[in-house]
Amino acid sequence: MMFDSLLSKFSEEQREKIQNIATRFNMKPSELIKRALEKPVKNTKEIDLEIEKLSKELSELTSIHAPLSSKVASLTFKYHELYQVCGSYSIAIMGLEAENQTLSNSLHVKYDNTLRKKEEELFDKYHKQR
Amino acid sequence: MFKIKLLQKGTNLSSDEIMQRIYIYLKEIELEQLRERVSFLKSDLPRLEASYKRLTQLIREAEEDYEWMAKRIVELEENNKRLREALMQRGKQ
Repeated sequence: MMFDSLLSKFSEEQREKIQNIATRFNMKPSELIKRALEKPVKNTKEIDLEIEKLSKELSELTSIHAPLSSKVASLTFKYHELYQVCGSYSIAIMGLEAENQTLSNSLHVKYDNTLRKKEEELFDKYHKQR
Repeated sequence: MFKIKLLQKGTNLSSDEIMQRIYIYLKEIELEQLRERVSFLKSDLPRLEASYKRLTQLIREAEEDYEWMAKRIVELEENNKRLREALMQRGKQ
């Protein structure tokens, strides 16, 4: 009732504005008015100045954050691709080493396993860690 | 009760004054959103910088591993080819 009398104060244009703002914030017009009235009155110049200062700061931060974020995304993609290729290569090496060992045994020649440890480490690196 | 008091307070204000209070409220919302965004970006930058450094290092290592493994595959293929040929020669003999 009291809210109705309060609303009757407004012109049609003002009521429409209130309705639009309230809709934007998913509120009822009464809720919007209540919230606006319950806030202590502040100096609008101070608010405007702070908005201006923060907008400038936001713009500066965004100019650093956005390209860095994009770079990190592209590096993540590149690393993922490289990781997959290294994983495939390490499997191929294990297969070739096994073949090498079999052939060496068949020929009764010494199997050269000097690089085997590093190859196994790489296999683990691209299959066990993530 | 509080709401009624506020509305009573509202009835003492002109419609322009209430509209003005609504606009101030909107500015405060905008200000709060700006504060949150700035605070988020400030706190997120160190995380991004650390990720960038870590990924650069990981890629460097992975590229070295990739090159080493590519060479090693060629070596092993050539070696196995020689061994297979030797085995075939032995079979012929």
